[in-house]
Amino acid sequence: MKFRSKGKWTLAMIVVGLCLVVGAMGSPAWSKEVKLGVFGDVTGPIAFTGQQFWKGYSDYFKWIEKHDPIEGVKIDLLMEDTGYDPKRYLPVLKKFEAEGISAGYIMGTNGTATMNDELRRLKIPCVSEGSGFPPAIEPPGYIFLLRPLYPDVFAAACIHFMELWKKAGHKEKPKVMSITWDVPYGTAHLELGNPWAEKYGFKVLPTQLFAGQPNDLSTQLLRAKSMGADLVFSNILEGQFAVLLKDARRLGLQGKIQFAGGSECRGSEVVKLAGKAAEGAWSVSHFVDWSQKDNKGIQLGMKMQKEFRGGVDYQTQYLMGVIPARITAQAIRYAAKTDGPDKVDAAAIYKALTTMGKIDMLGLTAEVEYSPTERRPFKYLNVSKCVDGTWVEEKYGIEVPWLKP
Amino acid sequence: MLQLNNVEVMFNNVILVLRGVSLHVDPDCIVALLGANGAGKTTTLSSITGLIKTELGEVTEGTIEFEGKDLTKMSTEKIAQEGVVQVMEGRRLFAHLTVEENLRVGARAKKGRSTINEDLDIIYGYFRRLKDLRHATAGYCSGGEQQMVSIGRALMSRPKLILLDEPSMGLSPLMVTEIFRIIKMIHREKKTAILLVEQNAPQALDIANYGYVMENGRIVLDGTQKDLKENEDVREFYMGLSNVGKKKSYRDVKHYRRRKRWL
Amino acid sequence: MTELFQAIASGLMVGSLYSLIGLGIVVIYKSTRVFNFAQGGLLMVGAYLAWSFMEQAGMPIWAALICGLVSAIFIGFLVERFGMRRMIGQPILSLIIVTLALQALIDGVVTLFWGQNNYLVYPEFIPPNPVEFLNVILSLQHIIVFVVTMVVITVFILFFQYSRWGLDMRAVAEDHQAAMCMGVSIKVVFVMAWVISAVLAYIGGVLLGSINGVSTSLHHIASNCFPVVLLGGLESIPGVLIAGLIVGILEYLSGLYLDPIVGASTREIAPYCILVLVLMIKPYGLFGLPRIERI
Repeated sequence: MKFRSKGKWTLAMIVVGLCLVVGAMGSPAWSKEVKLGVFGDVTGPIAFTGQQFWKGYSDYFKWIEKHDPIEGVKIDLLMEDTGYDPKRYLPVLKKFEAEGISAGYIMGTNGTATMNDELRRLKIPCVSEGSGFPPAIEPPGYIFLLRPLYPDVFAAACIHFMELWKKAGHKEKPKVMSITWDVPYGTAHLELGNPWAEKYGFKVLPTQLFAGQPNDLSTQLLRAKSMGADLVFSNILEGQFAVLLKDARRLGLQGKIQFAGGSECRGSEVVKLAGKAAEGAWSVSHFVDWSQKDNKGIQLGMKMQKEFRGGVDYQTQYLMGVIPARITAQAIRYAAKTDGPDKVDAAAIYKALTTMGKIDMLGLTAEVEYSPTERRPFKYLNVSKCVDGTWVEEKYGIEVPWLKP
Repeated sequence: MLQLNNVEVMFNNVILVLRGVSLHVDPDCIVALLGANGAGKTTTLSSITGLIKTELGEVTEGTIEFEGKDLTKMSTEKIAQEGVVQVMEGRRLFAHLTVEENLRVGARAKKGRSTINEDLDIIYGYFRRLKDLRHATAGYCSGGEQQMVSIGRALMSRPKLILLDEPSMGLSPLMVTEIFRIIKMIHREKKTAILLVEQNAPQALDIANYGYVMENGRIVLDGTQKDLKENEDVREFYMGLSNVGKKKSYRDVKHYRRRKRWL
Repeated sequence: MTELFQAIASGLMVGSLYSLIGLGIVVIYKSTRVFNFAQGGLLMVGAYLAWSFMEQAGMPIWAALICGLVSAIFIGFLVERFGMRRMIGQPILSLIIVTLALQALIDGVVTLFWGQNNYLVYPEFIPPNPVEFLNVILSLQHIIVFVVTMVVITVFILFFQYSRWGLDMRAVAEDHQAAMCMGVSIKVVFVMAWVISAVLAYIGGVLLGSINGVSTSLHHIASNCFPVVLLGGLESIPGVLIAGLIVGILEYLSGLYLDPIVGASTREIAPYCILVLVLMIKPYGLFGLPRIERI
């Protein structure tokens, strides 16, 4: 009995020893570990969008680890669920701070608005989808946007519409109305966008708002009809856009009014939910759509999905998740090359982002370029149109007015 | 017909409320169960109908048998269907239901063919006032009327045994007399056995054939109507009768207390 | 004028959906005094199940709907048997907390089985054709929701008022112990209440799913139903019907007339404002039963 218990101890010691050895071998001294924190809105109102973002984001890092590693750097992704709930971001940030993250990815306007000041203080650079929060870029801080501000998204729809309007030979002013979601994201384009549109030659009609997931948007649409709107812009999510389009079809407005949504409105989900009602709708976004088969970025997206997901799911938001991953990875690559892999930290990544110049986005978007005074990536946007159930190019590379408060 | 043998009831696994209660009720008989507040009378009734289970109580010892069936293992609604119906203290009407709906619910315990309309007529025969009130909301009726509904509701299932808990509570003396008159009449006409719990000992003993006296969860005294009415302790403590005007010594009281403790 | 009529008509349609879902809460409250916070969850599960039967099992639509109904009955039974039965005789508050836990559980189970990241769409079984009536254009889906709600609610009013089981349920709602003493089986009543409620949730879920698509955000509609239920007086079936319609219409009217003035979406708070006003005047809601206390 005595012998046995001694044997147990010996065994335990050996196991512990082995663990230490293996642990030491697992993290070789030459590989610097860089931690990235993802504020994941994978539950809550934008859960669907957030989960796709996360898939695209994490797949890209898996891909480069396997096929195109950054020399001397091992990237470690941390993801915490923030639920699109403003109360949850700062606790998660504290946790990430304790973990020692060097950079981050924020999925929404809510998180961007909540953490802007805190990130400035902590000096952690974060790429962010939250283009609905202009104070994040003015004065330039640690938030790096992935697309122009929402007023520019609105402007792109207006610019393209005006071109068609003039081509069709109309003389009067076109009328534009926003039917949008009453959250910071949904209303972000109004303050700057409406005065701009007025100057640009539109007549701006009063905005119609709704809350949450609507079941019926008839009254808002009837307002649009009675006021004679020609273009309706909505910065909303796919489920809401589908209801809007379905009700528009029911009220006989499809084809009479041009409906345009933001990039979130361009998923296959919209087509699935709205069916024929989606035909002819526009989506303004900063990246290309899945129909561009010879685009390098699209090809990469397909390869990644085949390898990690077992098949291609044509989700727009998946591509949107690849974009921040690409930007972050390229910045880390640049920092590792210029400063040396062991010096890659928050400051180095920040420096890389602001000074490295143009980032090749594989054609997914226009080339990204930040500078010490600029946090918006580029000034080009694309309009896609739903034709026979798929989103195809309507007009790419619209130069937007670069609106800023 | 109903037989309680040495029943012990515990609440929450700690509080012993009944400490060995034995009593029996014969068919065609009114049995009165007397006692002060907190003596365990209501608990005795609830342990018969199984209601103590909903109050975290439990029969830990002894047996409760009704016509040879063990009631401790049955659910309350089953017991009601066996023909034992409890008229709970404080009347407990379904306040928002009408008088007639209350009575109809009472018919649920009846086994076999439904005779609701017949039974309703019989109840309205006993309690004439209820017929006029049949569509009134029960909760707004007067106390006496509510007591009538409560008793009528129990009668709807044609029970073999009614457990009546303080029918006189909160009623005027005139109404008490009326209620007791009706109880007596029901007993006579329907041959229903009644176990009557009362604070109002004189009234109860007037109509009862047999009586038990409870103290602190025990039966301390039992006897026929005549025995109890003549028992001095009962007269003094429960009926408020004593040899008025005569001198009384504390020794008498002590005598009773001592006696009770040893019983 | 067309806008006003359209707002009222849309409000009626959407409001009837609130009534239907609120009715489930009312039925449970009426017979067990439990405010069921899990109604939205039951609705979501029902909608997902119907989808699974239609799309994954590939059944014809009528068969899938019936299978969904059967599973809804089964779920109601399970919830009662394993969630509520053990709690009989416990304070009502703990039962209410159990329903909150149930909601969280259902959220988790749905995410586990169907994933959180998808909009699922039923094959089209209600054609989305518009129906025009007096210049008001309604979708057939909304009209069907409205008709179904009216039928279901009429049936339930009759059921509670005139059937034996309805009487039992009302009696149990008043006084558990007294009802038991009268031979009413509380367990049967509880099972019935939960099964009915699960079935109502299922109907609501399928109808809502056919309009909005099935997703995990489906259960948020229940939060619109809470003011409806309270406004109607918690235990009144005509109350929940009328309150649902009032809330639906108010939402649309406030969206139409208040939003341009306020400059923000008022439709979500409008029902609560009305609720507060009504409760100040009628503390038991529009059709609630006042607490009877004799002094």
